[in-house]
Amino acid sequence: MISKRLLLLELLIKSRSGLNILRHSKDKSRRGKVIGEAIGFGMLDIVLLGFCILVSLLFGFNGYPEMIPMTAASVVILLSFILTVFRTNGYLFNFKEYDMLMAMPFSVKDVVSSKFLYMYYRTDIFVVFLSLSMLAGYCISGNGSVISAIVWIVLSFFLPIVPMILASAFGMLIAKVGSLFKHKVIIQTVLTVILVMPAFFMNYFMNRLFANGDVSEAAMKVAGVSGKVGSMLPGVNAFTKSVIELSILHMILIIAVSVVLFEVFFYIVSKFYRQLNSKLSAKTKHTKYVAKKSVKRTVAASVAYKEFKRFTGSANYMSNVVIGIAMMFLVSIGLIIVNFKIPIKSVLYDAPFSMTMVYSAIPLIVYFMTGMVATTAVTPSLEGNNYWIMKSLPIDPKDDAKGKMIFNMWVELPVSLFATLVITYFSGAGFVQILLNLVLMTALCVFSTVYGLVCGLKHRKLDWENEIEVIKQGMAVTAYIIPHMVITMVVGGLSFAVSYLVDPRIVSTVLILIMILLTFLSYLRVKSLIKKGA
Amino acid sequence: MSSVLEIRNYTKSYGGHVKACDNVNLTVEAGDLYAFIGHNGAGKSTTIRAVVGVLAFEEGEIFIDGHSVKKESLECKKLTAYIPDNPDLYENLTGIQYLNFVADAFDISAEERDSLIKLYADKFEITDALADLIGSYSHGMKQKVALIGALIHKPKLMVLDEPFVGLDPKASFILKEIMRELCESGSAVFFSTHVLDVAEKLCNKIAIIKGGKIIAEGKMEDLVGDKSLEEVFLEVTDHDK
Repeated sequence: MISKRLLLLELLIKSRSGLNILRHSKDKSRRGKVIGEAIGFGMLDIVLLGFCILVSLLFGFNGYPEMIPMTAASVVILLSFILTVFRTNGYLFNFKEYDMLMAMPFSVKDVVSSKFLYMYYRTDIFVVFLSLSMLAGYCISGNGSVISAIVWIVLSFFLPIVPMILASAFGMLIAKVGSLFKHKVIIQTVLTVILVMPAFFMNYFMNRLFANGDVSEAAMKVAGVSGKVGSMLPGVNAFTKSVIELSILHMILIIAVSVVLFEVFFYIVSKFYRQLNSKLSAKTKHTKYVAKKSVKRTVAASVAYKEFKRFTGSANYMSNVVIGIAMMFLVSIGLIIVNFKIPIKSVLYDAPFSMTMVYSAIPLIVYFMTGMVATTAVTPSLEGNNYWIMKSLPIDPKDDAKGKMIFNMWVELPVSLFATLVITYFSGAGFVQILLNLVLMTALCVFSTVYGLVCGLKHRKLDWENEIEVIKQGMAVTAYIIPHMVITMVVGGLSFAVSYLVDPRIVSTVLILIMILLTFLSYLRVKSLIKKGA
Repeated sequence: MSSVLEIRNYTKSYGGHVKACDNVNLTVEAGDLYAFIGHNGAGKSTTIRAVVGVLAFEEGEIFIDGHSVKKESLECKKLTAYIPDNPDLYENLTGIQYLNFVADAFDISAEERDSLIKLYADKFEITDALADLIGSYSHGMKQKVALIGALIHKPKLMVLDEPFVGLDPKASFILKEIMRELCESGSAVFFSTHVLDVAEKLCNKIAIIKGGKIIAEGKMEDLVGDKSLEEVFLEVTDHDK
């Protein structure tokens, strides 16, 4: 029944709405956090708006206006797919209020479809915003009409449905396969990473196209790739034809396929939804504990071990965190196996310059991929409702922080060092440069760990309904990502530019000193936040 | 008397070989106040979750007022109220928003819900806090809101998992009164508890579960006789080792 579905959807939206907190909470700091988050996301949206308009103008003013709706549709479809894959486990399954909702007089189809619609709502806010930003660029560059704009807006709301359903189907399949194994979390994580990795490599490939700075050539290349991507993704051509040719047939096709697939998919899913959830939530003991001699650890090591168990106990957490690490590891292994000149040249964007100029930037390239671990691994937010445990135990907050940092370093550092070593070595650098790059990589990892903790402490969020809300989402992640991007892109670019004039070993040394300084400043901030009881 | 809850040969296994519940049979009739007791991990919650339609099961049948939980899940849920041992309520909703949601889910008219919410909120002395976010409530207050949500649709069968945990003495007393009233009005209450004194004083029927199997079941007076429930419980659970 649609009314029950909407009732549930309304509840889900309201129960996570910052507006509801603003209206009813008497806690000033909580209200302040909601406002702060809104401002943070608003700023991020402005950046994205600007980027989307720029990309649209790039196409529009270089003679490829048809590529704007095609790119918009591709972005909407790909992003909807990726975001849903990561969210399925936690939004559709294993959610906190499962017992409460399933015991109420809602049909299984209503429960699961309303959870999907809530996920759609969360995804839609983001992807439709991107799509409409590109529409703005499309109109600014003198294309389209009022009718095509209306078609664009309406279809933007339907376009994410099919990829989200497909991603949910994959997510369910992954959950189903995982549930057959004892180590279901590991299996689910591996399958999720395998599923989304091609999309991340596609992103890298797109970035390469802007490498030489020639705007019109880049537009041509991107147009070519967008065309190819668009032709591969069902729905892109239909969207493009609907907007440009105002093809009613294609409009109906998008809407009808979305609605019919939605109903059919959730009719089928509702048949085995309870069984699947029961299997996923089964926590039976297959082994009998045999008392062994205990090992006494330091408090920090014990906290780090606890964090490690949290990490390996959640497919959401692991798949979100290991994707960059796994990619860097695969690239490094690939460099060892294949002729290293080709991929190194590819990584360096076929640059018409000496290899020595990029030596000092190599750790930054690696850091771009692996440094995202610290958005999650050091945050106290993951404690959620269990936060009382840490608070009530006689644990010095510094030890808690140390433990989380040790764990972060444990995840981030080994692959970062390995990748830096392999890439620097195969790029032909000498011993001193390799050593400096390894030190710089270590400094970057330490910085990311400490700065990640600053963001985690400053923007701690314990009242989440689902851990995915603090993994790769939320204010702490946004606060981390912006300097992360600045360091990797701006500093990386600067180090490259300076290496034209100065010996890269000097550049690396200066970068190491800068990172030590930044780490020290972050460390002071951590101390102050801990002192304040953050 | 008509049976409100009937569990027939209910078996729940995990991974095909670990049986959490094994051939459970029991009947709760209208007017029964039925206690379900057992050690931790005995299979109480696994049975309760299957009764309320949360947990899928393959073997056996469960009927609520004649409706099959497997085949007529929605009908069964309309007749049942369920409170888990640790109710996960929406922390960012206010108490009244949550109760209105429950009332909507059960299609309760505005007038009826207003009077029932007021009645029970006043009884549990939580009326003033209903405009606050649930996240700001204590465990006991959350439990009270969950209880009001369970009561406002006048359930035919009320299923509670450890309902007295976290409630203050007055709220516990009121809950016991409400349970009695509910049973007197022709409904039935089925609940798990570790508080044997309460079960003994409150209930007319009882089942003891151990290792997923019902090891004792029947009328309280028949089962307990002139002993205490605690003694009987320890006797039967130890004897079954």
